[in-house]
Amino acid sequence: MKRMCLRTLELLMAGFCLLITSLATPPNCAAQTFVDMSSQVTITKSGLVLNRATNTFNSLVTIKNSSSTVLNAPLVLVISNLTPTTVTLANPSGQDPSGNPFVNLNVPTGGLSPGQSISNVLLQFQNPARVAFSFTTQVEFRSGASISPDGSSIVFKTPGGATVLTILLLNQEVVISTPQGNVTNVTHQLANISDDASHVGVYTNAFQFVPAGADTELEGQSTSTFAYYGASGQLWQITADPGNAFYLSTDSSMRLLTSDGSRILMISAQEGDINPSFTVYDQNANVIYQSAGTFSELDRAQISPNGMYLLVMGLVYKQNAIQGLITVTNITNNVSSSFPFSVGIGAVPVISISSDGRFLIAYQGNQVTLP
Amino acid sequence: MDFRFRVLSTAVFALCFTLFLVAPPTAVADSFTISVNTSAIAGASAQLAFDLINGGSASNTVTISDFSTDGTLGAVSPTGEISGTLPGTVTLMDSPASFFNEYLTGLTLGTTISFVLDATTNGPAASSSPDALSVFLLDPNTGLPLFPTSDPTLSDSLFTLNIDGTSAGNLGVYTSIVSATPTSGTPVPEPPTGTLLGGGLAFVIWKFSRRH
Repeated sequence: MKRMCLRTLELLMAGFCLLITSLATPPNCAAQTFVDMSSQVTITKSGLVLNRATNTFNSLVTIKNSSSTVLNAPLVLVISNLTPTTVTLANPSGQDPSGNPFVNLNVPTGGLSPGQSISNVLLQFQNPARVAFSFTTQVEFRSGASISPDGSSIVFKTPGGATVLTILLLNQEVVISTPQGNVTNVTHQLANISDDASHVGVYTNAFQFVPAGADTELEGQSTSTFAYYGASGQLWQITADPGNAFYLSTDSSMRLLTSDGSRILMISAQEGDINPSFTVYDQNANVIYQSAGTFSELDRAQISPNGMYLLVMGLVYKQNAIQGLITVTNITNNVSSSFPFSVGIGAVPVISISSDGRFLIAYQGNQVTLP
Repeated sequence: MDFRFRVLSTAVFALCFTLFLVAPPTAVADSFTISVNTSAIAGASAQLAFDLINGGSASNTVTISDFSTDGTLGAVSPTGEISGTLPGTVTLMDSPASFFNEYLTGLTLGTTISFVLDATTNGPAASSSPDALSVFLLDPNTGLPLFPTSDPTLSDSLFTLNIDGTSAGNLGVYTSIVSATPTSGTPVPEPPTGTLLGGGLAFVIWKFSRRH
């Protein structure tokens, strides 16, 4: 009972931290997935007009949905093949992965319906030499995740623009029934999103409580799944054997996805985080790395942002002793470095590794240089 | 041989002449009578700018004629392919080598400015931008527009004609002091290319057959 409440509190805190983290770090557009939607729209450009205040040559673009389906946000207008190179777009909203500038399109609420248009999309070109120039335009869908307007969830969309998954940071609060009460089915659902918002890992743990007679122990059976979503939708899903739950980060500092979401760390552990094992998958569900047996109890685990290192912090039970241990494993060659420590000295359970994998920040803020 | 040539040339001549007569005028010119009411700012020093900007591969010609104002015209500063001087006829042309073409004239404003605007109608190639003529009233000291307009390009033009290949073009007027009326209610016809070719070929054959 007490453990369940603690877990609930942890989940709530994790969800809050994940939300704050997501809001504080906007997606890196350079690594997002852009899907060309030009075959579904008609693009019309106006002529150029000199704006003497900005010394730019301005053009207006109209985008009409010429398809039979609704086109959902987020849509952008990408400017490419802008020649000569002395001419540049003065009002870009960002750049696509190819380095082409784009401007955001103001898609109506509910999406751009068939036959509907977005008018007066302003393009401002800097052209100091006042030479003839040309450019091409295409409308692209910026796939990935976004925070819902009310901040309660992360919405993940496919290139078609449809919302395939709305991930609530904490799907459902845990309600503990009395020992004599009704069966309570609890579903935890938490998401871990890559830094560029292109991939999402979703952990779902459905736990069915079973009334346990006269005692006050809660018993039940859990079914855990781990689903991995990319820009095109769900990539793969693994369901745990009953009773062998996947472990899910309850700490926002636990990174399960690499920066670009191309690798995902899955942790499997017995109830109580006992005997954890670690598996790193790629986008095609290929196992890149697997280990088990070092730790007796898991405290924190993390994959490095570049996907090259696995960090684990936990406890090792020894005869008449418990030892804290941090391991950093090079996933490529399976070489590990170990940093033992004494437990019970009020350490702060935080670990983090730098993007290049060279620096580790661990207990009490000590910085350790990796070999 | 001579007889057969005459029969053949006569037939070709007849065909070409028929083509000349029946071919519809597919190319027309945008033509508008423009009137600008400047009574609210009469007496102010200004510059009147006509900008013809090349949007792509198509080339067009814009002619300003029948210019009239009760204000006083000042110094002229042309840029690009410009010929003529107001109040006479002024022609602006664009080409791939001439991107920005501007007729800029000083002007002490009276109460009205009027002129007739004619433009050819060569539309843009696929994925290109159309040529556009935009007209401004500028502050001669700053070079910026005298007053804001509802120009959606945020350039504060009085009006803009996008030469999009349609017979009437796409004219947008962004201030209430400008009125634009299509001239004579119908576009000015231009001989289509097929008609000109047919007529020319018929003339050559006619001359050649007379020599024989």
